Amino acid sequence: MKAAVPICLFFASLGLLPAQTIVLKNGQEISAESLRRSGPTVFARIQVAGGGSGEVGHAAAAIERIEFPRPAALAEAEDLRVSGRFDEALKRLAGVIDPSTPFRDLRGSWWAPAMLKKVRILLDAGRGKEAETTLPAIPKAFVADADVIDLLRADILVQKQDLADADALYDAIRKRTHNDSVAAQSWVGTGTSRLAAQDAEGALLAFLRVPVLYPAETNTHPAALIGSARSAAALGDQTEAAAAVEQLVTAHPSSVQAAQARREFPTLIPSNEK
Amino acid sequence: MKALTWRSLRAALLWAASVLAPTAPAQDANNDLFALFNSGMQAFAAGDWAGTISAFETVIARAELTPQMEPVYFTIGAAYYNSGQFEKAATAFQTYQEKFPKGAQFTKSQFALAEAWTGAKQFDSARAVLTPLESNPSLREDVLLALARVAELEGDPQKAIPPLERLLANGISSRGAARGALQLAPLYAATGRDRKALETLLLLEKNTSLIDNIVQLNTTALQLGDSLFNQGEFESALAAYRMVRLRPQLLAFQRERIARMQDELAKLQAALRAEPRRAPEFAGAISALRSGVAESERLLGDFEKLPDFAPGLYLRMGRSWYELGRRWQAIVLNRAIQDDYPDSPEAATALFSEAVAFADLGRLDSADQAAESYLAKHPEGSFAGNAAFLRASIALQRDDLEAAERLFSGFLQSHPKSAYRETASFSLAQILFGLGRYDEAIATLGAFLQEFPASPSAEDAEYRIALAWMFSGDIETAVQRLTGYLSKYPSGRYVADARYRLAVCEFGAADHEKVIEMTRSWESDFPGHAQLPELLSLRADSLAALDRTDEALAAYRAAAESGASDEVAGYAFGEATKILRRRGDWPVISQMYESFVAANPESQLVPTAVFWIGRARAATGRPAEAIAFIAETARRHIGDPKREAVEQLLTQLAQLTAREDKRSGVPPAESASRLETLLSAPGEAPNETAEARLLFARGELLTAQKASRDDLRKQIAESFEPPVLSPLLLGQAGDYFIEVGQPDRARPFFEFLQANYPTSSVIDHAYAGLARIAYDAGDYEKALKLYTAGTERIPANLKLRELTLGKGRTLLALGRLDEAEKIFEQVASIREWRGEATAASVFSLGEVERLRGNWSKAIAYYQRVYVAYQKFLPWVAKAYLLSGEAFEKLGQSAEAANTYRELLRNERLTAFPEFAEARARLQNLPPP
Repeated sequence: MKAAVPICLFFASLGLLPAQTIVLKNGQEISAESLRRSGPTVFARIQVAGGGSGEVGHAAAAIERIEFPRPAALAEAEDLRVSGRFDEALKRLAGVIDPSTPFRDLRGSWWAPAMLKKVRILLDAGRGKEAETTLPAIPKAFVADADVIDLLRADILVQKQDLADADALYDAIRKRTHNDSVAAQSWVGTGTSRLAAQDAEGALLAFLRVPVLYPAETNTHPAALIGSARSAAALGDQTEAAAAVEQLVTAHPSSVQAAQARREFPTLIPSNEK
Repeated sequence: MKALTWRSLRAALLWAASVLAPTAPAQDANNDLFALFNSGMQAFAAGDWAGTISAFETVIARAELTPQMEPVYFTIGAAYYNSGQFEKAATAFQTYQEKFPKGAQFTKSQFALAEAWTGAKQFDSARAVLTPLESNPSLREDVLLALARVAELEGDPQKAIPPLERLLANGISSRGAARGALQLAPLYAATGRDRKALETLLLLEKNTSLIDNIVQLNTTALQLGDSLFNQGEFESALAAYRMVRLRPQLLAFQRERIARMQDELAKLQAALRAEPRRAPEFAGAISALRSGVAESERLLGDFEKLPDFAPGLYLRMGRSWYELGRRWQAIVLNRAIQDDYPDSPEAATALFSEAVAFADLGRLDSADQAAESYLAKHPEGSFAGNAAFLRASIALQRDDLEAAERLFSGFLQSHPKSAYRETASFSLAQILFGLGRYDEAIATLGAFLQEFPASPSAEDAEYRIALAWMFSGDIETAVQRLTGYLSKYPSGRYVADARYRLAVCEFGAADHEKVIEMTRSWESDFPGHAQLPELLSLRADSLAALDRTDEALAAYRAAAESGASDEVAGYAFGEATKILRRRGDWPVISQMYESFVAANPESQLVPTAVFWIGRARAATGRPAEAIAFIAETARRHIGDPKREAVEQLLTQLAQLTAREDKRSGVPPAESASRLETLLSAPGEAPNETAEARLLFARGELLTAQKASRDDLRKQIAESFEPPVLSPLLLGQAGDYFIEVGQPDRARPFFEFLQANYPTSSVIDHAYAGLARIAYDAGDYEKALKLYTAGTERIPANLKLRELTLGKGRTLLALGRLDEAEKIFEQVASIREWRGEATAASVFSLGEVERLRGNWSKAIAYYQRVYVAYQKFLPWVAKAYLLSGEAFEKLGQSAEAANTYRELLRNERLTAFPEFAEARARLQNLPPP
């Protein structure tokens, strides 16, 4: 069965998405200038002999994956999230989510990663209700690692103070994940939950798992370190709190957590970091 | 031995094959040679070195020396090398160089010759060949690695360091350099240059994709970490341990590496399929990749067989964190071992290490839990003794002497040979002493001295034995032991105390003259000693006993004013005040306290002093001045919950104000607002503590109006959080909630009082309240602990009666009838406690007998209650009913009926549940 469905040829370029490659299930690769979706068909704009371009339609069902270039906005949004500029981060993400929405069911689409990031940002921004309504819109089938969805679900439970369910979910995630990033984030979640339950000792031991056992997961470190500082302070262990604050403000000086630490623990900030 | 499989060898052979291939017309000789060459080539490809040598020797013997023969001469050397005939290989390569000085493989043959010399252990020859080759960029890496290998094979690995350092001079950008780094790091470590070793590994860590054998990096990093740890370089040890990859990471790394090589191989093969004529160009690379994949797959197989070393690694990392003083991080790693590798041999060590780290952090509950869990899981484990000792020490640290006694006793029994035996034995003796179990303390200390006569604690033990005799009331033996101590340790640590105690013993014997003499001698021997105030106070007591009141007064004042503790100063001032009040000497009272306040403005006794100053002024007809003076001091401390005597001042102030206002006709409502004005600093809003105390002060004005006072108590209890209340108000708030049946709301007040004001004069409120809550909840063990602590370990004042009675009731509930009986008898016999406590105790003595089945004795007690304590109706009602029941048990229905009728005749008992119960019982009695 032939996968390609020639529909029409144009001699002008429309440029809907930057250059990408469609990999069909039969192994054929099509380099496209741009793509658009119409129902079950993905149209690829390709170069044609004579210098012009034309559009070729492919049944979505025949597509193995589409190799979209990684959107720079995704990393930019993450940087903005880490520095606490949540509204800007969400705007940046919209630039990924909107154009990739038609392709969200296809492997290689950046829609699901961008949506997951959006939920994370909403949570960090304290907009738990929006996060809660956004998360179910992301089907697990569209996500490379379904544990990430459960992780966000657990984080939402923590914001709703449903701590026992959140703890159980974090444990379950850790038992099955092989992804260090997910594991590290789950420990931050457990720490946050324990701290909310006023179990400062449990919280500190959870937060500290991240820098001790996942040193490479640096994106998770600011949250783990501020959590460690808060838990240690709640336990009256000023030495440990100061150590966490120092590591936070020196290793992650522009993170939102470093700014929080400067406000919350002014006396613990090393003099050269004030 | 590594076979010579240079990439170009195969290409060279392919090229030679094309040269030797017969062209038409075929020549027989050439055909033979070609066949021989082919067989040699196939033998070489199949690793048949003997076959290769045989074939190529024949070719060399029969063929002319032409440039086309170059690969044959070269390959025969390789075959000799690969078959382990290194000398022959060297000769073959030398022959090649001689015959083909401009041959394509000449440079390579030089390197091959060096390898052959190395194989033949001709290290100098090898080095001589290798050294000039270092300048050849295409061989430099191999040459430097070979030089390092020569040094190692020579048995002088340190000589390998310079070539390897030259190899890494420009960083790590090739597989060869990565191999060199892996070789160099352990060499540094072996010569104590661990930091250099670590730097090398950290450099390597940035280029892991170039590492062929990641396990080697793991092994080196682990060994280096251990070496650094043993040298006390814990930070660096951690850095080394962090480089070790866990088993899943290793497997993933190797699988990725294989996939990468396979991908590369597939691409090369695809290129070869597209352009077959470029076969010679790709052959070497394809061959290298194939052997690389095979080698990596072999390593992967080895990795898969490796045991999981994560628990061992985590344990090492945990120890490093621990040594760095980062106990929490150490716990995290120990927890990770227990969570993820619960069946590993390291899990037990991790659990005990966790207990130790928690103990270091002062997290005693968690430390105890971990130690207890260790003992439950590993009762015979290597750390069982340590864990048992730790638990006992934790109990001691928590001041839970009963538990500490039990745990130390258990430890000494189950671990008789422990290194901690000496400490544990002495601790147990101290605990028994602290528990007031002096006989046992004396026996344990005696046994300790026998077992450990040279112990550093021997002197303490001797002295404690003397004190134990003293506290147990055997003054004669105490004097003997104290005197013995003084002769054995004339310069001992407790000489001053021993002599003071001997004076106390004389006081007990009422030999006051001797006390005075002993204390004077003490004073001259120990000038400025910290115990001087106690000594002066003791002398004052003796002087007072001899009616030498002027001297006693002077001694009390000297005791109070010579830097005494609040406790001694309070006592001495109190006694001095008693003498002065008897004399009606209010001006001296005032002057005494005024000078104390001037010298000790921050003392906790200031409010007490002010109380007396105010009273003295009022007594000398200066009530307004007294009011102003007390109000001024109260105002200064009203916002500080830690100033315990403020309530005393407020009571005094309220009484003075009420009296003054009544005398001058001020209405009571105005008194309250006047009091508030007196206690408020102008322009300053009172804090919460002050607000609560203002309510208390208003309550003190309303002494005759119980309902209004109760309402103010309720307001204090319900409006303020524990941290803002003073000890007295905490106790009162807790009591209020107990009275209204809300124990859960009472608990935080008592707990705060217990935790934050352990030496408060009202601390007994906390013990009595918490014990009552535990008792009402049926937690009799906890209640007993609290009641025991309340009666034996704190200076109980207001609540001693409640605590003692509570202890008796708890013992009764626990079925410990003999102990309960003793306590009830004690309560019933104390004249000062006459009243409801006596009624309750007599009733409880009846309960003791009832539970023993001694019905007649029980009846006697019950009858005492309803005859002698009719005022205490709840006890009377209970006593009637249980007396009737006891008669029934004895089969004396008529007496039982009479008892029930007596109850039913008492109109004051109609509201009690026993009333209805008696009526029912009466109806059910069998007819006489």
